[in-house]
Amino acid sequence: MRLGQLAAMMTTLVLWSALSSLLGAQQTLAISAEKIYVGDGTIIEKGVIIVSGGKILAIGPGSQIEIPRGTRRLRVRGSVTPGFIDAAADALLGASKDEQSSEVTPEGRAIDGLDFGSLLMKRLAREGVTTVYATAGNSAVITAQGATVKTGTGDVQNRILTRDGAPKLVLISGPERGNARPRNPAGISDFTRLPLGRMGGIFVARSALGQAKDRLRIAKAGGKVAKNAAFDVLGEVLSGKRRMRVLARRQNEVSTASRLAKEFGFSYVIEQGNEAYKNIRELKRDHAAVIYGPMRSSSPSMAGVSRQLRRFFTDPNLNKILSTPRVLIDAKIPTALTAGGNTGEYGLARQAMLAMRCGLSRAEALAAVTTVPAQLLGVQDRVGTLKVGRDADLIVWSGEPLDATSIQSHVFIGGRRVAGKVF
Amino acid sequence: MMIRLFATTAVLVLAVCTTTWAQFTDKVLIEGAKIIPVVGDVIEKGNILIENGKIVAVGVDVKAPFDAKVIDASGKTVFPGMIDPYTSSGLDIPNESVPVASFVRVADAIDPSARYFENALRGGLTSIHIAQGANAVISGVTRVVRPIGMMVSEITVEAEGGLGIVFSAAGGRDVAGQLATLRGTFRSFDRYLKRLAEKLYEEEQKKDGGEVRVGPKEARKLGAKLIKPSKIEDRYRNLWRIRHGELDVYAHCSRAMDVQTALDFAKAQGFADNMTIVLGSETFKAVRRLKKLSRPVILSKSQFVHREADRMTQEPIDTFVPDVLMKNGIEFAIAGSEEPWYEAARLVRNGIPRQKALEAITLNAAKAIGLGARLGSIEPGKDGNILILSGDPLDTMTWVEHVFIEGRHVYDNKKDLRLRHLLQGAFDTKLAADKKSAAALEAKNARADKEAKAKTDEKSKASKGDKPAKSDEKSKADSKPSDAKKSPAPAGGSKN
Repeated sequence: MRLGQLAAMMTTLVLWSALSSLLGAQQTLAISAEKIYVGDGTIIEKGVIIVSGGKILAIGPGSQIEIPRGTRRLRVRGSVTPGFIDAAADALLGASKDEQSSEVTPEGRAIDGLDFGSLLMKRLAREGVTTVYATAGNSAVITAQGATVKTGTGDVQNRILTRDGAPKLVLISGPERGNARPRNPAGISDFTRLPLGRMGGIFVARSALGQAKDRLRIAKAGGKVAKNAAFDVLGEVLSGKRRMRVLARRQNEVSTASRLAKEFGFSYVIEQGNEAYKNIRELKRDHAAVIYGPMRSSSPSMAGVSRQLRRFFTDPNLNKILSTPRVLIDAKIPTALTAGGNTGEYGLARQAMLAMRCGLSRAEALAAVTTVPAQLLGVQDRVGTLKVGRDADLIVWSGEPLDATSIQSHVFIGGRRVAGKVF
Repeated sequence: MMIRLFATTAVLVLAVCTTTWAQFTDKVLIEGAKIIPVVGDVIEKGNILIENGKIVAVGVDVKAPFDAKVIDASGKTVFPGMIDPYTSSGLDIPNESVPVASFVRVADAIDPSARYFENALRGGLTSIHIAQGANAVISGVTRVVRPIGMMVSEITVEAEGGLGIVFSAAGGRDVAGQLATLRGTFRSFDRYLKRLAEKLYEEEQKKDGGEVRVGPKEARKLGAKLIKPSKIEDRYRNLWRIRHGELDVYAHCSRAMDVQTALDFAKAQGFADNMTIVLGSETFKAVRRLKKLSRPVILSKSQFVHREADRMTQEPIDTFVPDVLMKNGIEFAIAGSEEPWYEAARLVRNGIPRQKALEAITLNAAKAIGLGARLGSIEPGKDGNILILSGDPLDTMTWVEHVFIEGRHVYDNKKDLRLRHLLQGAFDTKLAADKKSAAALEAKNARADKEAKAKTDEKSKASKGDKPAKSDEKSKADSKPSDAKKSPAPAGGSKN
């Protein structure tokens, strides 16, 4: 009995060391699967991907790819897709996502508040969300610049793709929440900040953008402007170097975004956009994109949603439908999906599944979590598609991707296998 | 999907019920579908006959009686109505403010017009066991309902399910406080019973003008036989009934340590045989104790994964609870979902065999609430709760198209206005695609028909032109196949 146990332990150890050398080290690895979803719409049947040095060395049908002798192999029954990208993950910044020292903080950078070793990073990686755009919360009018990073574990410097993302213009009620009503009966508010309502918030945004515009004009005319971290970033937005993020849910909020964009001449990407299906004309005219989500359930009910969210989602003024991604894609508006950086049943794979159930094809749903967000984040040369020279970030599915009965059986980031199981 | 209706069907969408429940006497035959009966093998192209709300026959060669309504479900998948074995949804407020609320009935708090029931029907739930929340010591009498109707009496399937007893910390009490309250309640119940027995015995004796000749101890003993539920005051009546098997017990055990307590308590109080355990995620650690149970355990969808951190390294350790239950041979049912198919799919993708996953949302759920003989599968003798699905029940893209509850057609997703609104764009595209394919099929039939006709014409022309002298027999033979070809197309078209 004891001997048996010992033997079993030894076998496990040997297997483990073999496995870790197979998966952990930056060796050449060949993954063959029934189907490979490249990400650009093409599907390779019985395909092979060769991964080396964290990059994709070769990809193609098994009949055409020659696997060098001695290469480690992983043969799977299911399919392979690119790693998923969450383009609006505000959960990653945790408690530090809401910087409230000022209403206008575009000089703040998400990268400085990011915990690279957090449990959430690990969970995201396990579930196949290999790249995330960490974005600030919604408590200021213009918030910090986002950052595009890889999830998982490991060296921080190698995981940063971009650190100078766009600042975010918040058009939902976040900034004024709590300002209007004094917190204590004496009538003295904990908040001494300016906006008390929607108009106030937009006024703050407009004056900041106006100042930035003036500074640009002065600089252009040869005048001298002192360096200012906040206005310089806004200046880059106005001169088209960065694309503004706009957090908007309702129809009027999206309209406001469109109006401000026209007034100040910037291009923008809508985050969340629950009612964006009502703004098709404006979004098309502005060549805007939408990062839609998170959807909470394919059933119109709010089952399983926390009370706070339930209150938000049952807001009678918010006219949410389930097929918004379908409507947006039909109008040829670039549409990505987001889970807000959440995992598990509120994760990105579930979001894509819901979008698929509510009208998208499998290819469209996959594109909305891979190629489209990669393009929106400007990192399409590194992630989002499985092509030679791109990062070896990929998900191996036990069946067809986004089927309710398929699971992410292996996830690779930069050719390294992510440890742990997904439930 | 083509539906041939021989009688007017009351199609009930958005939980609007205009007729009373007892009115139907219909016979319904659902034909040509792939039947997943949960018990037994899958039947490709089978028929189901429902009479007076019960399934009477299932099989390939089941024929429709002359007065049956025939539903053509060819190309569709038929699955038993799904069951939620334990939920607080549909109640106005899930918990009572008093810890011991064995005297309340959830029936009084169910709102049949709640949006929950509409969604449940849309998601394919046909039986829902409604109980109070776990924020109590003893919660009220549960009820099994169907999600269609406007009055509680109308939606009731089983009026009295059982009581909930919470063995875990709840309502601000710790486990010790919880159990102290529980034991205290049963102790005062016992004291009450003794007094009641004595009183009843005295009354019995004095009724005939007699005298009480025995001591109080003896009187209590003799009087115990005279106790009936109707003699017991409200707050204790249901405790008496759980001891005598008239009501079931739903024991909430959210932690492993609660399981043994629950089992011991049930044994001491005599309700071990009519108890179902409602599990928390950590309870899998007491899996050995759960093996002896006669009924499947109930696991809420939110309790599938138990997450904890390694005490040394803080590395997360996640456990998939249904997997542990299955490996230990414990039957389980899934609760708390408006889309149980998705929870079943979650089970499958985490390694639970498909059959077990399907049972967890149908038959095991029925067994867990003591209705295993009546609900949970497509078998003769069971309630005619049938779903017609657009595809496999565990497929991402499958929608519930029709729901039959006890033989009545209560849901048609083409007439589900809210769903159409929520899926605007997508739903219309799908409908258009359906219409297009139907039109294409019709056009194809018409073309085939035309070609066949042209061929016959040509042939008859040829036969007339070239060989007019040919005998009549030949032309008769020619006309036969053309008739045969003609007939299927119109028949197919008129089925609508």
